[in-house]
Amino acid sequence: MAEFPLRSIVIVGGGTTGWLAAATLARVIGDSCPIRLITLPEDHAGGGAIASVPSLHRLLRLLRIDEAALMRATGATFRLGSMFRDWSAIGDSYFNGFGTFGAPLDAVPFQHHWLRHAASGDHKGFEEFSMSAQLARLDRFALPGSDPRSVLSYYSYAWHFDSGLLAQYLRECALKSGVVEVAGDVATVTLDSTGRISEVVLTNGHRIDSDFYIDCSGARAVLGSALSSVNEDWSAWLPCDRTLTLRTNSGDRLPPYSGTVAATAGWSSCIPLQHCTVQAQVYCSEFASDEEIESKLSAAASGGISHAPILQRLVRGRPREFWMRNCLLLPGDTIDPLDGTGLHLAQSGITRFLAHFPVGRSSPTDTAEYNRLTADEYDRLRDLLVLHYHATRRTDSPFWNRCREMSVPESLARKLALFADSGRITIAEEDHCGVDGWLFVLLGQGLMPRSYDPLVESMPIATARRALGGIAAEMRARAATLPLHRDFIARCGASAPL
Amino acid sequence: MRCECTTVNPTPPQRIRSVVIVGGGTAGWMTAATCAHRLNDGSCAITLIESPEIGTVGVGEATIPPIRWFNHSLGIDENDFLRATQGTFKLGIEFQDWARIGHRYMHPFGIPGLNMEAPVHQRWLHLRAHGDTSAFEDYSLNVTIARLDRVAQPAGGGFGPMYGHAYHFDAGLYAAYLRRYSEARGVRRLEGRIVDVSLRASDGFIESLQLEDGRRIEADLFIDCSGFRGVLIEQALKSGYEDWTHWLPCDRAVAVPCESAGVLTPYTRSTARAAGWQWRIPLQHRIGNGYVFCSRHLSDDEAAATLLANLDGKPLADPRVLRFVTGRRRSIWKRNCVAIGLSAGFLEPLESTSIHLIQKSITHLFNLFPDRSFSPVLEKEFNRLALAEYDHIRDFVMLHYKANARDDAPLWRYCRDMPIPDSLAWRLECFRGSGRVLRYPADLFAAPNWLAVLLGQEVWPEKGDPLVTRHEPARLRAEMQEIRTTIQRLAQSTVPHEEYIARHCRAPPIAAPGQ
Repeated sequence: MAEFPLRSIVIVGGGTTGWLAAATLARVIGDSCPIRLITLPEDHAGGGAIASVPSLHRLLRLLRIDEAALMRATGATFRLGSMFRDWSAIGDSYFNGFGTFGAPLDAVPFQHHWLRHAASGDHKGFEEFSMSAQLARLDRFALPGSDPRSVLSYYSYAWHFDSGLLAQYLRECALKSGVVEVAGDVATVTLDSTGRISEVVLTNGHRIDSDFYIDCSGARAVLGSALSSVNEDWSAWLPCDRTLTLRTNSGDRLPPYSGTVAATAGWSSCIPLQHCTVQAQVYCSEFASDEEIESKLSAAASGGISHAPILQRLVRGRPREFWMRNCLLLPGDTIDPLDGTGLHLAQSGITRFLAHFPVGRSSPTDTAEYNRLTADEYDRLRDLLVLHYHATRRTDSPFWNRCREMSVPESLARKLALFADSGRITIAEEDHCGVDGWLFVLLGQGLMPRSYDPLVESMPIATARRALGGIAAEMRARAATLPLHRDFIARCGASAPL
Repeated sequence: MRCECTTVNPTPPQRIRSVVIVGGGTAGWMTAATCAHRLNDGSCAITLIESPEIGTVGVGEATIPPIRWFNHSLGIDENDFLRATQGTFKLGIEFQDWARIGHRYMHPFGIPGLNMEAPVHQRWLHLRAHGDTSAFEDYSLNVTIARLDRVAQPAGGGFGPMYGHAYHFDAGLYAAYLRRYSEARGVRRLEGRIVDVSLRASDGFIESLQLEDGRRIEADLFIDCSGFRGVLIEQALKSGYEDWTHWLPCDRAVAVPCESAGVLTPYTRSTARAAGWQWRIPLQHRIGNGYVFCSRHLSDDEAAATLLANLDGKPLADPRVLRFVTGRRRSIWKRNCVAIGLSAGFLEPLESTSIHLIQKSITHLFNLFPDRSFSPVLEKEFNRLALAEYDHIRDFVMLHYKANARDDAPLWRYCRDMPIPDSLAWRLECFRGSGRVLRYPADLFAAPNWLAVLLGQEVWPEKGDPLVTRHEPARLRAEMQEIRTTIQRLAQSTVPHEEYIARHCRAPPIAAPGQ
């Protein structure tokens, strides 16, 4: 075997991020490089739920994970997007779904046809042109079709998982691929004279040394803090810094989406799993105390609470550098969970690492490129999160007043200015949500541009009206033919054992 | 910054009622044809003004694959277009004597290898380090087909992303073809010379153009396709020019068509010469040739003599000299004027990007098409996107000059030592470090293009990708052999270029050859 630049990799932290990283690395390079994972005491807390985005399909393919088996093992449900309530104004709601907005009518993007329609006073809600929204409204679900001419191919999906069970499932994948698990807690992290990590010492005295380390310890940042990692501070833009999570019995309905309801100091989420519903409050500690939030949470979760509420800190920022010397920081699950991008960030963080795998003890160009690309990804994601908070008309609380009046990042301001002028979105790089994901948030939060692309007007208005009516009718009709979400889970063999 | 969106329903745009295009070269008629197609409900008058005595430059006779989307979007049939323009197929560019004298390589279209997942160049580099002597080109279907002077049939070949094609054509005939297309769709063509441009006192917008014969032409939107001079964007609106001569020192070209001789090659050839490079573009009825050179190192007469001494056949006209300054305008959309083509900037056609830059500017313009309020937001976004295209292509063209090992002439020594933009320097450093090609947002040229030129110019990485080098070479040898064999077999299923043209798109003979 030819020489491999790293003799071993050590991952610190055994939550979903840590096991996802371990399983992925083991799958790709496990036979060249032994991988160990240190599980920390707090990893066993469990109790939460994770909403994912469709990019996770790629990871399942890479890890050769069977979808139905994964869903059975994790009590998972399908996810078409999120239902937002009370965000732009109390009483308003919209569905932000995975998939396309409308259908291509000509060379002009669909939103301009919709905006032209709105301008003429005939206001059909944009959700009538979103297949995922149509399905969500009816609690229906089936796998999307592959015929690009059918509206059944106009949506995509992800999943909701029980986070403890998902970590467990990924752990089994990782162990099967040869990852070695070390239980313990980190007492000290030793750096050598060049500032690289030379070993990790556990509280039981066990010393673990390696060529390379990956920090998956969440907000605790065990390795990041030893390396004096500095965060870009986003607290002026992302208000929420805590979550409090509680598990309740599921209701009669099984919605194929997560619910998020804006509250006076943050928002609450509701994630349906097969065996329970996970309720959480995500809030800003400057505007509400933990006790206040806890009593609110318990009141909302009337029956059958099975765990004490779990308090977690969120990080309002990102590391300035994600790859420092011989250490990679994967802090995805500490970011505001509003968009369900925690797993996505872990996944793209580790696959990007494989694409920039160090060629030797140090690999300066790959390190710098990794950091540039990852920072860009976090910043784009931040902008989308900020938009949710900022685009509001709520004046009922100091929290929303501050969000409404904040000064947004320049990259977001540029995007908003272009949209505000004529409803256009330009995205230079592949975003996890695409142009239509941005549009759903912008239109859902009630923002309207001054005008729209003048080129739509080359289509006679009667033709456009017929086309739009046809799309909406087709989506509505086809959505009603799909099975209920709950029935589909049973039918496709994804039901978790009771 | 604040969000300036409202919750009020949008108001209909105040549509542009008239567009005037100044200049009737390739840029002018490509723009006119797109206007005719996209503004086709009769609400907008489209006028093109061309001056009969100003010849078109017509150096951009070789293209890259996106031209097919342009033609397709206008509903143009490929064979009809090739017949009308004396067109031929292009599978890539052969670079002769660029890395060093006596060396050649091809920059092909299409992706090397049989699939996109495993980086074939990393496997190739790894085997090469262990004594393998196969050429990187052996893994490119396009190069293999091109070297046989064949093309896929049907065009496109059903080979997926492994195969790509563009065209060589007579730019003058292409402009004429698009003129017929445009005029049939209502574009009005005026002959005349512009003697004055009047700007509105209140905001500096262009109000009207004054023609020599006294006519005054007004419009909402003006498109400057007037070539290097930039009659509107520069002479009237003083946009300013960013001079890139220190990075791309060639400033002249001498061009001459010659008779065809020998087999019809399906690729462009670029041969490096002492003070620049010579192009060879095979068309159905002739071969287009030119010598792009740096006037600091060579006189016009010397350049013409070198060119005439290196033709395949008899010259069909007197050599014509063109002068240019490499660079681009500081803004190419200003107020109610957008510059498209050479009026926006000039990059030597080493990678056949002149027509592509026209196409890209047209695409950006129609994605951000203004209404009469001419929002500065659109202007800003257009400039951000369109200027970045120039910067990116500049880096790609510069790489050919920078990474040379020629020691025979001052131009090549200068280029090897010259400082380069940070974006290119970083790209080179990344490749030298680990053989990886970085990607910036919206890059036109992707990893396969950069790799062809990096490896072609003999830039070697210090280390390879560990995910590949961890494998024993013996294990990779068999699968790499398999790729070569498959590519050879696929290449045999194609037809000779000449035969394809004869069967599908032979142009009628032209009475007077050349332009």
